[in-house]
Amino acid sequence: MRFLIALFFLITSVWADGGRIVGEKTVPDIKVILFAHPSPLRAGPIDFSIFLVHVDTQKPVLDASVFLQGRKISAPTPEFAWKGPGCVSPGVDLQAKRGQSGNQLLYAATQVLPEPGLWEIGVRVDRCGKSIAIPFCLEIGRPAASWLVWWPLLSMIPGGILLYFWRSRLIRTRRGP
Amino acid sequence: MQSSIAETIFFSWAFEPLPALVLITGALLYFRGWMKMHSQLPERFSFWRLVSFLGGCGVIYVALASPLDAFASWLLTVHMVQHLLLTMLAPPLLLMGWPLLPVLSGLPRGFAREGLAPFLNDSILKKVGAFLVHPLFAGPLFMISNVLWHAPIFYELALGSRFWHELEHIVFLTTATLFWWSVVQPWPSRAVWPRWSVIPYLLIADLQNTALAGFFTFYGKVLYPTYANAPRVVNLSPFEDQTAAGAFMWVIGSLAFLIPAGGIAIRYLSPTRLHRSKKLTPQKKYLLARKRFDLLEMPLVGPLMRWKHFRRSLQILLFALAGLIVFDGLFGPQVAAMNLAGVLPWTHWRAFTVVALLVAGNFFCMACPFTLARDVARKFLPQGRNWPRSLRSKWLSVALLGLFFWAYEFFDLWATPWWTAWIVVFYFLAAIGVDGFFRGASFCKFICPIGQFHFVSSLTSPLEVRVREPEVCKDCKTYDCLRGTETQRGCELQLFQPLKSGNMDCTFCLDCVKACPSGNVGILSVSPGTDLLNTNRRSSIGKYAKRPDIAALVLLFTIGAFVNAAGMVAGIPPFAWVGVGLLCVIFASMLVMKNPWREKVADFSMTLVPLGFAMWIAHFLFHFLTGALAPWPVIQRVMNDIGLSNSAPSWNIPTIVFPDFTGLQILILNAGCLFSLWLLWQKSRNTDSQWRIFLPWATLAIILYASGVWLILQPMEMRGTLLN
Repeated sequence: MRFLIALFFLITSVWADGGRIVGEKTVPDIKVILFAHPSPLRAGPIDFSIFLVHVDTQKPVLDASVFLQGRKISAPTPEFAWKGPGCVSPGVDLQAKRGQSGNQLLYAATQVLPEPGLWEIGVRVDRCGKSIAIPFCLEIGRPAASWLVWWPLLSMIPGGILLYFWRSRLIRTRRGP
Repeated sequence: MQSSIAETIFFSWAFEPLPALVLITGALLYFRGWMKMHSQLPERFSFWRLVSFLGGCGVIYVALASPLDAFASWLLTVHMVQHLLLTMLAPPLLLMGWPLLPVLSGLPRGFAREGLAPFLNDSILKKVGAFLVHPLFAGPLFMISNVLWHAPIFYELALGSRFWHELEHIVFLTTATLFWWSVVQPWPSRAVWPRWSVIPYLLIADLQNTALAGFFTFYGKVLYPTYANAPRVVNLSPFEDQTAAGAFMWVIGSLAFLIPAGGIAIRYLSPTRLHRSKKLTPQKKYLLARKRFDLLEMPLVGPLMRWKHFRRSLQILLFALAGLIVFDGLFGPQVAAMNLAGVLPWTHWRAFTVVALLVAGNFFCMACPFTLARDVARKFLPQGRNWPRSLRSKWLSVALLGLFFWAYEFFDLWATPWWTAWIVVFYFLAAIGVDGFFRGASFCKFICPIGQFHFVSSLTSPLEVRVREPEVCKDCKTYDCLRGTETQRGCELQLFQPLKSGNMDCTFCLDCVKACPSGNVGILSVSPGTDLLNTNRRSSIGKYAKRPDIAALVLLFTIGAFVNAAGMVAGIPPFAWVGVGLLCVIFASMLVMKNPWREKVADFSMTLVPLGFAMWIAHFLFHFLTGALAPWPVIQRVMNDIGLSNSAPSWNIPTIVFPDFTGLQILILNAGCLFSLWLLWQKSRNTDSQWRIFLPWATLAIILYASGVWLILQPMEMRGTLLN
């Protein structure tokens, strides 16, 4: 039954396997591996996934609470800011939860980093009454132009029109003069 | 602990909406066509062909959404299994379903004949198709693609980028389908080489597979850096993982090639082969079933919908919901996301309505709670007057719908449960007040703004209440579908079934279905939207070209879709609002004043319906997905308020907007825009100056489309939730 529920109701919001590893740090007891997507990182919504491994047992840690916070370190660059859909602003603690990505071993969340530059992603791990903060510094590139991201879908309109005229030409050719 | 990790891995499924949508659409088309083919050629299209095709679709989804995908960049073995499913199992299963004819038969007849047939019959394209599946092309292509994608530079590229990873999967699936074509040889395609040649074809592919698998197994170093650095969740080192992946590819790949090769060899050498082939040679000619799909003839659904209390039951359900909304709106907390009046009507009801209109028809008018109250009130009210002749048009409802769109944004109706509740109350009073004193369904036909929205949207719906056999109606002298019988009322919206075309003004009340003594009215499938090209006179509506009020309604519906979405976006440039205002003035003056273009404008306005409807769908689905789970804590809060529960509502609810949703919205808008352009082109072909008429309308459609894409790509308010 649980399998069926998982199959039909698991709606994930970030990339299934977490993306690329962008940082790895070991704090007492726990190794924290930070994944991010897309690669290379660009301003806009970024899928962050965190994998926690117990240093001694090498087993994944599945009972922690994980929070993310983005803070820009380099100078503001509003002129290059990403403008698009997104719901969580930087500077706000964002809970990364298991089940947000396909890989259930990962704590994942989508964080919007609106500007390019150097960012600090603070990962806070709360477990067994203890709280550990681990900062990761990431270089975020300029956002991709909308047409570069969406060109396959946007080209459907001219593509559809071309197909239609091709079809009309085929019909005319078959009928002859 | 170990078992819980294994369990966690096992449940690492992801919801992949776009592949799911494509696969479900493909499976539905196949199933629809298979039903037709099975009834014509049951021996050829047996049950196991259906199972095989659906199994192929299932295998693709498992490969793309199961833990195989979630752990593909952590373990090469897992990734290898994923690729083997996409190349060795899914394509043969799909092809063994002999998908060509079922999928073609499953498509809407008009689209298959007018849209696809010219391409399928073209001799050059036929040659291209034959070339693509020719063993001399498909075999090497499959092997080259297999080797190239496993080269570290391309494999790493795919592991690091979603785009390249998806492209890799598409290439694998496509090249493998071409490769397996000659092996399976789906009917009615014909083999270019004798059957025995498939055996060396498969053996050569096996040689390539063995060489690549051997390379993985015996290379001695980790080939892909990603796997060398990936977290280890099983007791396999990266090198052992690579060796295991190679072994897997070797064994499973070889079996996939050798089993069919062996099977073909055995069949070829079998003495019964000749006998069997003789039995199959005289081909039966098949005819595609001409019968339309009729919802009322479906098992379970049909009898349920024909049940005399079916509509009443739906209305009572919605009436109860409306009561709850009014009660909570007036007496509950005045925070939209915490109130039933802020959540159910604006995020859920609207989304369910447009989805129902898109996939079926006007089922929300069928379940209308306001007409239930009206019917009850009619038992006490006179209902003897005729609706004033001067008001028998859509102008009043256009004004009310425009007023509603304006008030929605100006007063933030979505954010004020109190006003939402009062709107529902006013609606009940208006329905009772109008239809309690006037004959027929004057409220639905001439006033109700929600109904007009549904009527216009339903012009693109795939189902329509219409006559099953027109011949039967020729002998009818009683017109029961219109006038009714002693026990059953006829159509209150004055739609005479034999002359009815399209869904305009049809509330799906099914009164005509029940009134027709011959049982000749059903809910039949139609080619969505093509009725918009119909220039004939319609019952109770006339010609669209002669109805500027309906054109105004359609234009309001279409432009309103974009303006309403723009209301959620900050920073709309002022010139855009000026442009919208100007557009409205131009259209209003063309439709209201007498001028030579009025009929043309009225006629061509209808073609914008698909574009406007697409924008409404994209917009409402966004609200629905952001606030889909919002009713749960609200229901908890209501239960608390009335003392039925003590648990505190959990307001921290997630949205279920998935990463590809923006793409899906653009896709919906694309479909609407292309459909509108097609309708415009078809309509303008019947005029003297095709391009002069087509270009301005097409420009308008493209401007609206571009605005829609821009709006979709902007940050939008998360209405109906507590999120920012």
